Amino acid sequence: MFQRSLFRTSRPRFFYQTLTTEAPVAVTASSRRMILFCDHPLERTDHLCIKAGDMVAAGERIVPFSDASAYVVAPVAGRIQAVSPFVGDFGKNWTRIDLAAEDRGDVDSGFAAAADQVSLETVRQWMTGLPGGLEMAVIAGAEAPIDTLVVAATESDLLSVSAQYVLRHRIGAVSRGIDVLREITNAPRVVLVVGRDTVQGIGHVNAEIRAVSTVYPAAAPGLMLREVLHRELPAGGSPAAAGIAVVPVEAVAALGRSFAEKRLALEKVVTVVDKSGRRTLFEVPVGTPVADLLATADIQLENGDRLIAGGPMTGLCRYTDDYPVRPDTHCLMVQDAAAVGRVGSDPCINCGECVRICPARVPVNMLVRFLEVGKYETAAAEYDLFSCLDCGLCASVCPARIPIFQYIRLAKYELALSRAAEAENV
Amino acid sequence: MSEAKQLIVSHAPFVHDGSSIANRSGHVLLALTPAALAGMFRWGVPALGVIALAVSSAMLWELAFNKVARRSEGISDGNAAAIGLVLGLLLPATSPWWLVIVGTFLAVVIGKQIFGGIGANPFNPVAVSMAILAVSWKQFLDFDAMLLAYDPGFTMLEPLTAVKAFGNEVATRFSVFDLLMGRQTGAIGAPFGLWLIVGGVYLVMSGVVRWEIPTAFLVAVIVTAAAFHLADPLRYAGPAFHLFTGYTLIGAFFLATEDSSSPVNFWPMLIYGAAGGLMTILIRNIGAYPDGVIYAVLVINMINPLVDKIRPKALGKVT
Repeated sequence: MFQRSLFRTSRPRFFYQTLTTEAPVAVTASSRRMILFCDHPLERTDHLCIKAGDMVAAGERIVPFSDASAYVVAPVAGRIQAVSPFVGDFGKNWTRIDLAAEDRGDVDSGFAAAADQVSLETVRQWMTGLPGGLEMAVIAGAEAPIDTLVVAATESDLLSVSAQYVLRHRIGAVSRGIDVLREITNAPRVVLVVGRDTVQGIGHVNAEIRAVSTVYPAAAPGLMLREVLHRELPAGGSPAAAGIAVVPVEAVAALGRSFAEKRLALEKVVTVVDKSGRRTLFEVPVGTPVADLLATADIQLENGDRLIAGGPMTGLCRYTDDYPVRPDTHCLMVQDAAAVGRVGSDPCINCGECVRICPARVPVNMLVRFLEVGKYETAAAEYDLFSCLDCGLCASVCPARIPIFQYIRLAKYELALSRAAEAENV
Repeated sequence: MSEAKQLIVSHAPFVHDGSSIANRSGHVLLALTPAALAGMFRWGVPALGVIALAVSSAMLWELAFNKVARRSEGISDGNAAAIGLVLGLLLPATSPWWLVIVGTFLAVVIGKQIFGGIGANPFNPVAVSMAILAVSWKQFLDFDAMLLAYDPGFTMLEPLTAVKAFGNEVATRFSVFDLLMGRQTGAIGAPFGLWLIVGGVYLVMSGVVRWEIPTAFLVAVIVTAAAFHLADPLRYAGPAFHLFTGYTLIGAFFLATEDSSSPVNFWPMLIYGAAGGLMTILIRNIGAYPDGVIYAVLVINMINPLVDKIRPKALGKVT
């Protein structure tokens, strides 16, 4: 699938996978533990209002700190086992709450009461952990007034089919979710973006329907918005800043379902890909440990394997399976130790493969020379670092096996840090 | 916590198309094999000797320099072998052994390694080496004198030198078909036009060489040569003659396209290649040397960083 052929007269192209007829396997019952992350650092314990041994009801809103509004919603009833600091992706500091499920069946009625009123405040108070990933700042129009709401029923990466599953099997919930979002955001225009091969059967949704190419990375926001809205975002600018709120279809479905059933829908659709490339779909509550999900999928991890959350092009490796399914874990793949060779130590030979495959027309051959030596400012100013869509194609065709994508992510991360520091100094 | 498996953590992407530098070098070596074999059949054991010595000494220079400079070994990427083979095909079959070894030294060490190794050379290493050899020991690159002992049954006049001296009237004594089939005096591999075209097309098809550069180079050779020929048909040979003589084809497919010293964007590749073809004919027709490919390649290598600045606006840079 990813091997290049000997003779190649056109550019190599990777396609998003198309959902065939697969039924998901629910494992709601089997998981006895839940791992929840609260987006607030656990630095001091004197402000902590929860402790090990506390009981929580299903759907209960847990606010761990007396001085912060950050919260998590318990997907099941149970007992808090531990509260600990946790360093997440890109050095984010979170608070980790381990929950042992107990079959007491007590359900919190807080959301049912709040759901009578469809408002941004209800969403803000209850739904940060909604499957699919709902960004409050985006739907609140914090950066710019929303003129277009884009519901993205496109996949986040190759191999994932989760969004297509939601679109096909939850179209009613999606439709209801779009109505809710319309009401909350007052967006004058709502566009449902789907892959060109999944357009059928969604005619009754109350939104414009637009199809995008299925060639990776057509679903990256920069390319998708250019294709469906004919609007090119400024390099490095978010869609939200341009007045476009992009919301994943799964979050929209969960939103619609939550308000319709007056119960928070916390079940996440996850595409699980095993070492042989076999694909299975699962629907599990957000917070289910990956170890339990892999056990259900009958996948054994061996020493030296890679456990990848996300997908083959942009995913993040996990160093342990003691990690939960997160709202944005659309795909989980296990890769054999031998599957990908190590990165190389050769310098760039200027072959230009990266330049030709780059969908954003970034001069990767020049960019990488500056990134290698830490000249991030020059890279951003002269060699279009922020035009990069983070698709990973350049690194996947590099004959010198330079970890180009890693350099790019590092540079963006470092620049974000230094710019935040500079902003504080002013 | 579940049983602690030691998982590997690395950065995305987790797929690769399987290409490698060694793979690319392998394609180059394979693409040159037909011309090398043809050269060995034509010029016999001396040609075999030169090719073998060129490839092996290039690899040994690479190894030796990496040891001396305490650089990570680069011999396994095949680049040195490819440099050696190209250089070997540009030399006459009767080159003395020391000329070959000095040539590979100039290519691998002076042309490539002192600039920082693979990917860092601003000039094509083989062109650097050939330019120095041609200036320093030009009697050994005089094909008429070097190949006196051969009588293969066709005109043993080096076509470009003859035309330079006697005008286009000599050129009519060479049939284009003979030139294409390599029935001409010249280097070990460079005269075998047909096999070089086969190898070059193979490289383009396998994605190692960008089609823009050789195409622009050859088109510019044809156009410029035709312009000269039309201006003064008695003095200047026609485009077909220039296309199949000297280093034109090996230069277009294997010298001008060297990765590190050539551009990667579309328009720059066309400009770069066309400039090479133009310079080749200018040097041949109004310059001091019979063949201008080597110097033309060096000149276009020099303009490469500048022309490669012509590139499309990146996504989101449209203002």
